[in-house]
Amino acid sequence: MPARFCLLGNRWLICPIFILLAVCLPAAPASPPHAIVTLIAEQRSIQPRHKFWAGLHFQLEKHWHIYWINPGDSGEPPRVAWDLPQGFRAGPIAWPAPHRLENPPLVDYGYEDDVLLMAPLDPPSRLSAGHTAELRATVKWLICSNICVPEQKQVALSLPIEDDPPENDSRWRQLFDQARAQMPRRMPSGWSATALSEAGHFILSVKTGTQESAAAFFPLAPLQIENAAPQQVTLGSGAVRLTLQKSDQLLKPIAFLKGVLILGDRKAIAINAPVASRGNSGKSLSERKRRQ
Amino acid sequence: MNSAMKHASVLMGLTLGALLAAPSVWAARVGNPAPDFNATDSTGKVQKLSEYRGKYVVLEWHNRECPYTHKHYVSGNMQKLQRDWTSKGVIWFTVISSAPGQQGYMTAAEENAYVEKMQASPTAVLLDPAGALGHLYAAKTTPQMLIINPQGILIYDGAIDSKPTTEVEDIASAENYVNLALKEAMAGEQVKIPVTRPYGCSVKYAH
Repeated sequence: MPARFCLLGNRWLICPIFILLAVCLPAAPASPPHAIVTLIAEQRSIQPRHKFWAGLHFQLEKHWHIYWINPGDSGEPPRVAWDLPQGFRAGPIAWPAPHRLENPPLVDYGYEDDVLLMAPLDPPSRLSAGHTAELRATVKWLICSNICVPEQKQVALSLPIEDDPPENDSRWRQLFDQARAQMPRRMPSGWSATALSEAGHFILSVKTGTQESAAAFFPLAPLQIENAAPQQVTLGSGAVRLTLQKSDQLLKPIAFLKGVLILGDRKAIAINAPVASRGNSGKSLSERKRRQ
Repeated sequence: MNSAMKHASVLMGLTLGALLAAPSVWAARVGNPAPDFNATDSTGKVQKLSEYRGKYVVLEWHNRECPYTHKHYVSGNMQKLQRDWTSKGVIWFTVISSAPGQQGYMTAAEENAYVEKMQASPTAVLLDPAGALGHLYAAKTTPQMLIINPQGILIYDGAIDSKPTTEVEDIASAENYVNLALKEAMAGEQVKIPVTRPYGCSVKYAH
């Protein structure tokens, strides 16, 4: 908490006196980072041609946050520029389900405390066992509390190349397990998602066959729904329905409503719901009625 | 924020005579008439939007300590846009909606000194510490940019350019949406990109 006030900038020091000298003065020219970021790998070695998972582990200062791939009303998601040995390829970040960050009158989507951003790395087949691979990346992120600070770090990790199947690195098992548990899953078979476009709203209906205790939708694209508007949720037996206020800036119809639905105790489901308009699709109207 | 709250804060913050005439003015939406306002600038003058009917008006939401705003000022990009367009007769209002005690809040004297130091050339800087103008236009970020055409219609609402980063190096390769929209509109064309996500820091409204 003290740091939060002190880091508002040189001009605005409202630090309690007792920490003024200890924290504010040395911190003024170059603030310490608000996040510790390290590069880790799920396994202890690299086997040629075998894809593996690396992760950027963000440990955030209390009350500070970073952003999801759709950051919501403000902010920017972290970016990573890999610098890998020849022949290695990196896949995109697998984004864990975000949290709704209330910042009235705005709402952002992101992470607090601790998050692992996983990315798949694909080593080439021609690698010599006995050597070491140097994995490097430049990571840039925006971190915010009531103010925002851009930060960056060069991270690196050396892993031996071995022909044998690698062992998992037990130090990081829990982090990777937790990150996977937060990953949006494909819709289970038997489920379906459809959306109806009304004057000021989308009505997202998801047939689940389950009784859920809570539901919240996180849009993947900006400017489709009003992030800060409350979501009206109906939890029926076997179905979930959400009324989502359209963004004031949505000028054209959309074909699909994409995002993540978080149910109950943070069960995250990837949603790609075709959007029908009232009046041009009797089918989705009748479907909607059936679910009510 | 619901419309009742929005209404209330607007009432608190601005002198609103004309504004209350039609309920539709609450929605600042591209394609609709831009809501009128009276706001006091950093020289103490009251600026009324409707007095500039017949001219293009740019609204630039501003917080000098926001790293995204900083990028466009330290590079001189924002000042160049201001010079280029005001020299063509465009009215340019920089708007500061930071509440007292929040990042980016400026007194009139502080702001005038900043404008001089940075060689900025907006038509005026509107001081909006109660956030009334910000809420009226649903301004979310700094630097969010809006453009109003000579008929008083909002024709652009969104980001300053296509690269939502804090890095100065990105400005040169970014597509500047303000230039694009003003050029198209002045050539009598449809604005091809009328709405974008307004990247940046959240506007530091009163809590």
